[in-house]
Amino acid sequence: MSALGERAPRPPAGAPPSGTKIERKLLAGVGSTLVTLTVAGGAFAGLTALTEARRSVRPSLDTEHRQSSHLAAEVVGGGTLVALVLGVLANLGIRSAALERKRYELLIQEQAARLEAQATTLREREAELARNLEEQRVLAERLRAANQQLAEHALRLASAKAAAEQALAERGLAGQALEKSHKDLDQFAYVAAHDLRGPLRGIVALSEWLEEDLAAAMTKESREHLRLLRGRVSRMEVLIEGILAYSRASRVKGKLEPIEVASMLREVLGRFGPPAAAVKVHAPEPAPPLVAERAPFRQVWMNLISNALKHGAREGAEIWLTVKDAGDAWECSVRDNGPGIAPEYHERIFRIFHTLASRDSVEGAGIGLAIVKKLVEDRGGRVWIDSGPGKGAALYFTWPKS
Amino acid sequence: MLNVLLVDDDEIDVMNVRRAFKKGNIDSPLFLAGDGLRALEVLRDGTVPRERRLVLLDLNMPRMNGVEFLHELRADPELRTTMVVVLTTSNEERDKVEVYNLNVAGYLVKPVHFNAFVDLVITVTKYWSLTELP
Repeated sequence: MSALGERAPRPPAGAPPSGTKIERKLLAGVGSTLVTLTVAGGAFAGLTALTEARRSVRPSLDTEHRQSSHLAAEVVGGGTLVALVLGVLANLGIRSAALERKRYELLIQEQAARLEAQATTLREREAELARNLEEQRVLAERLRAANQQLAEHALRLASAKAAAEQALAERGLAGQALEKSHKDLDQFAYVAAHDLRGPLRGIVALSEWLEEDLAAAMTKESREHLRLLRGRVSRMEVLIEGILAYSRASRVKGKLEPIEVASMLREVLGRFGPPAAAVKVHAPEPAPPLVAERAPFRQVWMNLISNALKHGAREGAEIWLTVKDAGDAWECSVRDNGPGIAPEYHERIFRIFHTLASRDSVEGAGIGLAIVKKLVEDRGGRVWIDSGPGKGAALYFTWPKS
Repeated sequence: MLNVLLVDDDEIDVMNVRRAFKKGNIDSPLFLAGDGLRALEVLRDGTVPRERRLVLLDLNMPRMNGVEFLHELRADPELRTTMVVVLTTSNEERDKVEVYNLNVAGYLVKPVHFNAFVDLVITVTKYWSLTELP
């Protein structure tokens, strides 16, 4: 801004010289003419004086004097003439110079006016420029502020991203740790169950030998004790098998494959033999074709149907099987017309080793539904029950499509 | 007639086999070894007669387990053709694959109940009694 302001406006090239310079030239001309005239006059006066002196000193020289005087007069006359001419000339010069000067002055005025106009324009432009500059400065200021904000945002974003990445990594680690601990637990359950079987087998063998060897000597009471002992032993066996089955469930993996539900369910029902044959089964019709891991999917149906057969009605038992498309999952259910389950027990039935009936009345370790829950939830599905006393029981599960 | 070597460290299992022999009227002599090392000893020093040998092998044992014993046995030129039937509580797939790779003649899971165990022992010994051995 200041650089522009300091730059003095320059007259355009080819403009006439300034007025003072012209005047000076004219005056110098006139001056030199007057000096010449003065010198000529002086010379004439000196000559006249010299002639007078000579006349007074040497009258004899009169002729000479006259001659001189004449000459002087002539000189003076000539000089005067010259001076006159010069004066006229000078006068003419001065007059023409004045004219010239007038013209120049006009020109100058014109130029000055033009310059003034230009200067005004320039000033206006300068002011405009200054305004523009100010605007630009403000804009630049705003831009800088915005930039700074942006930089801060970027910084915050970067740190947020880093935090998110770290959280993700930590979650990944936690997930890995969780998965590992799950695996460890399954491994532990497997090993524990497996190792429990050894001593159990010993107990069974010993009790059987005792019974065999002491058959004759044993009282009725002792025989009853041995019967109870074997009962507990076989329950323990069932529990151990249950743990093994449960830990195995986490290892049940299958490839995704298209499954024809109706035929799979027919095959599953066939597995149960006579008890299933006596039950009226309503299979889903038409069964939708779906893609799932066959082994665990089949296992879930197997356990639910087994449960329905076990706890369903004694007489006129019916089982309804349904499969329906629920968007991103398949919603399946197994419903029976048995005695049903009161709501307060609904959550309990999915727990491992939980069975609501007395252990002697219904066979099973209470592991079937726990395995269903595990298989379904491991795949992101959900299990629930809809039942009430005397209303039968409907067990639902969802099986995510991917 | 067979010369049966039972390699097992569980006392009750040993008694189980003994009782099963008695109950099944199996007249083959029964030799015992508590682990793999002891089994190799009795096989090499002739405690167990060299002809018609059948080894009933448990897998989980101290000092030298069943799998290690099989490795030694198959590496020994004199013992490599010995018939071995695995009799164990382990139902693990990994164990089965491992021992079948070492040329066992059978893999049997010990039943929990005695009667089933007796049936098993009788069947095995009968089968091998009928089999021609080198």
